[in-house]
Amino acid sequence: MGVAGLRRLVGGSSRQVWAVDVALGDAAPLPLVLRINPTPVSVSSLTATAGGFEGEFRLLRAVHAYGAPVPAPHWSCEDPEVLGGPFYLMDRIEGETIPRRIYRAEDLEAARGLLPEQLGAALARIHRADISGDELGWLPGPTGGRSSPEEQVESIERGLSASPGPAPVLALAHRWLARNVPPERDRTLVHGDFRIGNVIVGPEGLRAVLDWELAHRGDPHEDLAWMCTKTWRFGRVDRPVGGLGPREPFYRAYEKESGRSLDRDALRYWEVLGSAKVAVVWIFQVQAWLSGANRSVEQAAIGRRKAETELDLLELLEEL
Amino acid sequence: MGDRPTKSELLEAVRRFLDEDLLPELEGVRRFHARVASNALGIVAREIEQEPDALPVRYAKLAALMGRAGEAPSDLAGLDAAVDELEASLCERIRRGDADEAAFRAEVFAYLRESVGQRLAVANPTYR
Repeated sequence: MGVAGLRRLVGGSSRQVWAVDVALGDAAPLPLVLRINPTPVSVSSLTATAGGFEGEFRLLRAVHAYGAPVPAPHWSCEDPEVLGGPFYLMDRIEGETIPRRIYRAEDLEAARGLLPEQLGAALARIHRADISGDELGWLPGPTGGRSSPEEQVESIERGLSASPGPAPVLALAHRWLARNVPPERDRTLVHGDFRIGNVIVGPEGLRAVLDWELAHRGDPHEDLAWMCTKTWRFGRVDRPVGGLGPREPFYRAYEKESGRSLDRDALRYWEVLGSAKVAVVWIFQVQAWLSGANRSVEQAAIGRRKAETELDLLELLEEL
Repeated sequence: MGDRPTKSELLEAVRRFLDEDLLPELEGVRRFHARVASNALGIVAREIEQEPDALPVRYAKLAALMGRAGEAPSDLAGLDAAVDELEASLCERIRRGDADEAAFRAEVFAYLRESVGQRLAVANPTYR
């Protein structure tokens, strides 16, 4: 076995991501990605997969088997003696992930038109995964008889209490969310961070869905609305599906592939909840900086993005 | 006027150092962080410039919304603390359901539009 071309890839703050070419025998070298945890997992419950690193590998294997576009997972190893921490290897898929470049690159023009429908169909395949068995039953999900939206509204309340200063816009949003919880009609695998920035795009469109750390069991509407949440339109606010285009082609491609009819009112609810969740994640990040747990300049600066989600929420609440 | 450079001029000097000298030398995560640092200095510069005019307006609207009579605090630190205190009461009223009622709700939205507009003009003037 030969190993060559090892280099660190950008991204993955709590976990290291490396590119590596692995040759087995005389076969052509396989371009792979190595994910490794250099130290024991100690991130907050907001960012950790319940099944840990091994869980992330099993999850990838499962959704890959359901035909969802993800990097094919190859081997995993829990023994920290081998590389200094648990790790796994998966296919390295070339392409663009940075939103600004996806919107502007000349060779991605056709892809921009294709992506909304491709994203809808891919998400339907992800949601097809069986979450009742041993394979994925360990994924976190609502507890104590609560529905998925009820549980998430509680996390907004926790964010409000954790805010270092008053947050009246978030308080308004929380009030509306708590009083208008939609029924949860289905429970499926939910990716949890399905958005532009977490997908690989090539000239033919969607190549792979990445960043499975927030996967859980919940309401499938969550993933569809997260893709349309204003923050993830990256400034192209008039194109709801990830800054790319209108909602309906995305919704309809999902409905066709999944056979499930989407509740448009619930989707709107989950978009409001999406903006509120972004605000809460940023509150926790600022709190981590203020407490000294994470001293990166990015963590500090993100605090002032509060005003962005507040404008998004005000607009959403005024439209109701 | 105090010593030159002024605080705004010093910020500008550091920002230029980051953008013109340091950034071209960096790659990857450190380059990204240098850009974030430069943006953060931009936020401070805009806040220094805009706060003296903007904060009294925000305080006056909030005080009117919350029925607070009396003199406004005379300096920025006092205004800042008073805004925090009044907004905490506003959050409490929202939690109690006062802003569910149409008339007060409209006033709350008008104030929050002003507040968010001011803070966005500092934090990210190109957001919309």
